Amino acid sequence: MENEELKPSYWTSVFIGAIIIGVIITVLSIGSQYMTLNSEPTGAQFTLAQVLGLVVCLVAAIGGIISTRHYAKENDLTFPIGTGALVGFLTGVIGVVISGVVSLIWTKIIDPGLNEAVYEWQIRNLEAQNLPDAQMEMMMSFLPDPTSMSAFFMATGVSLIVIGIVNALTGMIGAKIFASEEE
Amino acid sequence: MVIEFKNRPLYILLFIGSLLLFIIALGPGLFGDISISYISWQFKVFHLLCHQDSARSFFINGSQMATCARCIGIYGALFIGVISMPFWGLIKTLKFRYYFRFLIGTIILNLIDVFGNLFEIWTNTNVSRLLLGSMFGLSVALLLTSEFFKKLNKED
Repeated sequence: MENEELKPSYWTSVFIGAIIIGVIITVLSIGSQYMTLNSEPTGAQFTLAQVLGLVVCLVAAIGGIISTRHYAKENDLTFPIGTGALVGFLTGVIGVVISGVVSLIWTKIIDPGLNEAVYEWQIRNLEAQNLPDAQMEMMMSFLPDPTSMSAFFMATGVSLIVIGIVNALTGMIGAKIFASEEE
Repeated sequence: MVIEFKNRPLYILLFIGSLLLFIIALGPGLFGDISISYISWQFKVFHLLCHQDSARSFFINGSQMATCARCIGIYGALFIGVISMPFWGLIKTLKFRYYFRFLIGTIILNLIDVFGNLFEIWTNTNVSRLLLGSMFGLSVALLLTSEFFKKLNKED
């Protein structure tokens, strides 16, 4: 199945994988914020929101597998793991961008008070830990301003890199499993 | 013995990527930052990939790692697997399907461990989580080894 000359575009597969993980990431991040708000700030570091994470641990990493599988099966072709890494990386990056845009729409238009409510919850949670004043002040300085766009872009930026790398890895695995010729 | 080194740029990227993941996953304690780790940037990076339960995580310098014990096992073993790929390339003689079965086997083992603990059939520990996570990370590196390193026959 060597078809280097007429290789179809991988963008459809990338977008399918990206939309799937974008939706998962959005549901996870917005859902976990509502779960946080519905819980009492007890000072615990492990919150209700993380229970959700326990169930879906590493789900955001499957984009690379989904895209490379789709690309290989839909077009019935083989490709090197470098292509799988690229497809996976693009899937992760676009998935995070989709999630970022939806989260932005949600927190700026649909529920504009959400970020501020979570910020206040985090402060109450810190207070519940009965930290010394100096440490409390230091912790407060680490909490991003809920209205700050730079905090949002910073969080999205770091997620882009790490989820991109993880999905590049799963893209390589996907390419090896679904798109390589049997050795 | 002669070994062929293929896909060099991709291997370098894989090396840098796995190293980055491992260092970030070790959390703020690695840099001597003793602040509460869940507000550190390392913690935020893995927020969508790991539950980050403090009871299921290791600590460095009194600061919780950015991922749980199982995930640090995955990223740590993946990195070790990537740097030891030339060695695996030299000794490996198995076909791809056996490495694939090993990968699937480690996933199943991890799922059995998670659900066995969830349904209180047994209680797993951070060390058992680390070991099972490490097996998965290593199986990923083993699966990919032949793409970068291959033992050459004398005729080659």
